[in-house]
Amino acid sequence: MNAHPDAIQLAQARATRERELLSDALARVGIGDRKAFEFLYRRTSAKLFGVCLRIFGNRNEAEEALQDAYLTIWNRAAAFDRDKASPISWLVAVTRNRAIDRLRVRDKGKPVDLEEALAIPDPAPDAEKQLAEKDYARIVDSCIDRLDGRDANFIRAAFWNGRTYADLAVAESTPLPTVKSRIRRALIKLRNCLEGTY
Amino acid sequence: MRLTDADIATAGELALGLLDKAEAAQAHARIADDPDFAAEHAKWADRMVSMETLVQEAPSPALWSQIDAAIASRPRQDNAIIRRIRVWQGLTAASFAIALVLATLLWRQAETSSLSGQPQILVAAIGAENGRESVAANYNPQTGALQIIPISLDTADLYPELWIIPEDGIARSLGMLDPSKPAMHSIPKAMRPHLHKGALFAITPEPAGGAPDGKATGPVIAKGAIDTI
Repeated sequence: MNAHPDAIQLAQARATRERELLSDALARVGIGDRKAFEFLYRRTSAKLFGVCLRIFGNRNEAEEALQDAYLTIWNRAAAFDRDKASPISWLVAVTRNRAIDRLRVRDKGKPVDLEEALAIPDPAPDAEKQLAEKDYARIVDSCIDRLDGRDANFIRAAFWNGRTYADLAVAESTPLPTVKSRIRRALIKLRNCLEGTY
Repeated sequence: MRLTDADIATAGELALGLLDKAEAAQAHARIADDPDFAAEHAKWADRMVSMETLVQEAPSPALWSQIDAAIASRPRQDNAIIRRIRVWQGLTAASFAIALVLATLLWRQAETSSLSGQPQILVAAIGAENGRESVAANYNPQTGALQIIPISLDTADLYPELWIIPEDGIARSLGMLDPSKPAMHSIPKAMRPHLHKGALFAITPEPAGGAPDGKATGPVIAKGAIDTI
């Protein structure tokens, strides 16, 4: 069932407006505006907390990582370039990178479990998800289905669990250059499918 | 510039943290120069997020007060780094002198074979307050070649990132350093005007691949002003 065109247009307009609001707030945070920073926090902390929960799986560590992420955002907001990135993807990337750094420090020396990427929490009801997001999620699902399951798992484990090519090479007893070129092909395939250029 | 499949894969690998240090440093440099590559890199976070069903959940209400208190008690980090550099006075004389001599000698050695004119060579001794970290650098403004000679450089679990700070006080990344051996770095054209007499080199410890968004996250562990021979 497809959404009504007006509903899609409305969802898109809302997304654009949100992007503008967050870009403006980030620009002001970049010059040290604490009110703008609080606005940004109120607007984005639930989403970024979701990112931290996905990485750590428990509230305590996720909150510590989230605090760390917002301090990094405060320090680096001036580097945000609204012409190059959407504010939310910049915020997610900063949060993810800080959280993975913490995770790597925590798990140093622990044996690798590549199945961990599958251990995602039960899907929450996405009543709050906007229409445009839902449509995109459907495209994403169909693109993931086109990938080899191992490759899709590894791509997720790299982003969410900080896994490296070396981890994958060891887990599959495959030479590192082989897994690297296989994953590079999978990334291109995934990207082209998501961008509709396959 | 139209991106090739190889570019697309590299942008994805960078976003997923899959590149080794040297590759990541190159890719980071490209983000600064190539808007298409930068946009492609930025999109990967969106893609990865849309592959998941992420919960949206409010963190505990106390968290904001903690963050707010932390930023109130702590000045912005980028300013703090610059202030630290200004405050720093003497480097340990010995390590500074040794590094400077090395920077000069090694340049002479490299250049005497090709006597194509007499380029004005710039040198710097990048040292630490306590004398432990020390790196020699020489730079040929004609070719944009920067030679880095690490004498003593230890960033433990992190990786050394080199910055140039000209008069405007803004630190710009020149990429990651290999602490184990001397290396030649080709400075991107856009960055070359910042490397001149009086500008400061600084080194900070950063996560693998470098400071993710072009802003130093670690403290300055070594610094040194550029000078003529």
